[in-house]
Amino acid sequence: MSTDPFITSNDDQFRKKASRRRDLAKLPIEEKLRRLVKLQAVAYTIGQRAGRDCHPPWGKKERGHIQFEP
Amino acid sequence: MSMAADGAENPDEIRSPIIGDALRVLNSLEAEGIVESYAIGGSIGLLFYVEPLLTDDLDIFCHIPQSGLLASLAPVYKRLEEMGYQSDGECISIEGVRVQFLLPPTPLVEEALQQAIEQDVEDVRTRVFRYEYLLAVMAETNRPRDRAKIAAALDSADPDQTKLTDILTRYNLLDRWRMITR
Repeated sequence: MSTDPFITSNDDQFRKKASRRRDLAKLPIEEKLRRLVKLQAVAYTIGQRAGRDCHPPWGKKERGHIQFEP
Repeated sequence: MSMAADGAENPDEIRSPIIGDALRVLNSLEAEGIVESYAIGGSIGLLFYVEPLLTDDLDIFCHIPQSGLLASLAPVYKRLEEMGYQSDGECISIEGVRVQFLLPPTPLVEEALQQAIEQDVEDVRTRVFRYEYLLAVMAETNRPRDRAKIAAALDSADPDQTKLTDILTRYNLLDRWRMITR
């Protein structure tokens, strides 16, 4: 494994991604739900901009107004 | 990607409860005898075990008390509408969460429901399918998105191989599982 953070092999990158996914899997369910709502908000904004009929993120009505700007 | 809250809740400050209030409503339906022994399946069930994966509905598997062979979810939707919640296609929005009620469609899902385990979420007690059953049910359903979720799930959390193999073998899904995960 390279020790230089700017020179990484594919193997290094896959290993880091796999490690990050396993770390995410260990988060408390409440934190995972919070991250899910963020994902929903991103998908909602992208879908709306593409003119698709999509569901707003979960939560009270005001969460439907979360906007993610590029 | 920067985020702007557009005058509303900042997504970095999304606070609980997200599904807690909806689960309280489900527990009240169970207490009233409208549903029996419900459990969370689908992608939210997976969320208890793996990294967050995008979904926009909460799948609730349940039995309907005193129903015969032709069980219907109509009493559930009727009661929820009486409580002021609105249907949205095949789902119903409960406290801001799109919930889909499902009767166990196969013996495997029936067993998954019976074997579901208790979990606390946002200070609410609920029941969730075990990880191995969630994987087996996705293998049984076997849509492209199920196969994609199996791959993502296995990347982030290991199932109990003995339990999983037992379930897959009993429901004749082992060959399919090998095809999906090779």
